[in-house]
Amino acid sequence: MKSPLSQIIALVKKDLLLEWRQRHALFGILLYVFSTVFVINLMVKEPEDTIWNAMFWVVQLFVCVNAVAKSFLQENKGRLLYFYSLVHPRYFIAAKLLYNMLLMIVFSAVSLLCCILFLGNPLIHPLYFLGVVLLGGISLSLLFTMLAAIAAQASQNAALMAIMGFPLVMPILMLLTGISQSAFAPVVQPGLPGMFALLAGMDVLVIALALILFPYLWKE
Amino acid sequence: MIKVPVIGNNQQAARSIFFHLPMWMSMYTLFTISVVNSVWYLATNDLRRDVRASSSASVGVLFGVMGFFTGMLWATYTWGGTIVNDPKQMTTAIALTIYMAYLVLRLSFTDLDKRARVSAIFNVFAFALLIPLTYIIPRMVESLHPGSASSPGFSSQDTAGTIKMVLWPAFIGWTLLGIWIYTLRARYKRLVLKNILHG
Repeated sequence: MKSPLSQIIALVKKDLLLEWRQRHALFGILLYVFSTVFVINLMVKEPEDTIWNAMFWVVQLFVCVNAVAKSFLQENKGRLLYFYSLVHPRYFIAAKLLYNMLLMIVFSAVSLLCCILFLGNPLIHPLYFLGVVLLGGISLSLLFTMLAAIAAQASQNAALMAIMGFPLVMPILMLLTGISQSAFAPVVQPGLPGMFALLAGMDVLVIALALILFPYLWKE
Repeated sequence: MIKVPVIGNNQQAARSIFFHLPMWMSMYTLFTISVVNSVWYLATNDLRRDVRASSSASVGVLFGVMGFFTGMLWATYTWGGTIVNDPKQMTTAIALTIYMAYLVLRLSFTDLDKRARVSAIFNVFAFALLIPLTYIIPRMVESLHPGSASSPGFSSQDTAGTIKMVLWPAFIGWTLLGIWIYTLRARYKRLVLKNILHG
């Protein structure tokens, strides 16, 4: 039996390899980001700060739903059973969380780039915003990974993921828009460390719950 | 009619506290019962636990919605708007939506055991978010709601104890009423599933 860490890394490598072999999904989402932002550009040209921020996070949300949803939906039942016989479910979900985090970091960077290209650049602190975007991408991907695992149980119902996910994701999005608002203004926003702590707490909560609850989900 | 202390522009609308607060107490009690039963289900795989969890969650949502409506009614006369962008209102609305999503999730399964397992997991998630949403975040941000940092609560003004005299029995009464409705519902559902549960 290999060590847990090497098992997780092997699973992440497998997912990355699979992603590269099925490139249509990857490029499909890139095209999705591009066209969404382009549509916004056609509708509102160069929006002002708050609208820009809101639009950006809505794009992020939908990209995340689309990118993460397929991480479980693409696995068929036989293959899941095969994994079940190979690794502990906890390592499996850990690998999925890690892989979706990597995926979402890439997509976050791409959508930020698209937004700056098409919607203008109202950012005063671009590096700070980039940090928040990566953090936000990670938070969203963690939550949606767990939800995708639940939705996969419900007869692969992708619409169900939206029903479950949007109420759960609302507090995270509220926090993220609040935090990222600082990137648009030269003034320091009060209560910022508190919001960061809350976001980190939320992430830790989701990871802990996923690790504890996923073995139950897989029992069949 | 009992005397209520007058704080700011609350005036007589303050009387809604006798309905508003007990609703939340009842809702928290029912959601706690629900999550305990969900965890219990995951440990034992006993479908009766799932019946209890789902019935108490649905009755809890009922009380939560009633609490939200009494708050809205009060806000209409005190804040001058039914839904204002107050953090307490927003986070509570989100928490209630999460629980409604739980009820919708339950409807989307046909397999009883699968439904029980998946919704128990979602219920733990929902409860884990309910506490930060309704207890921690509203205490960190400014709110117009009585009892928060910038707005005085009633307990410090209620020197004669008249509010407490009504409020505490109301807490007990509404909570017990909620639990009673929940037991009725749970027993009804158990009757519906009689053949499966005892088979």
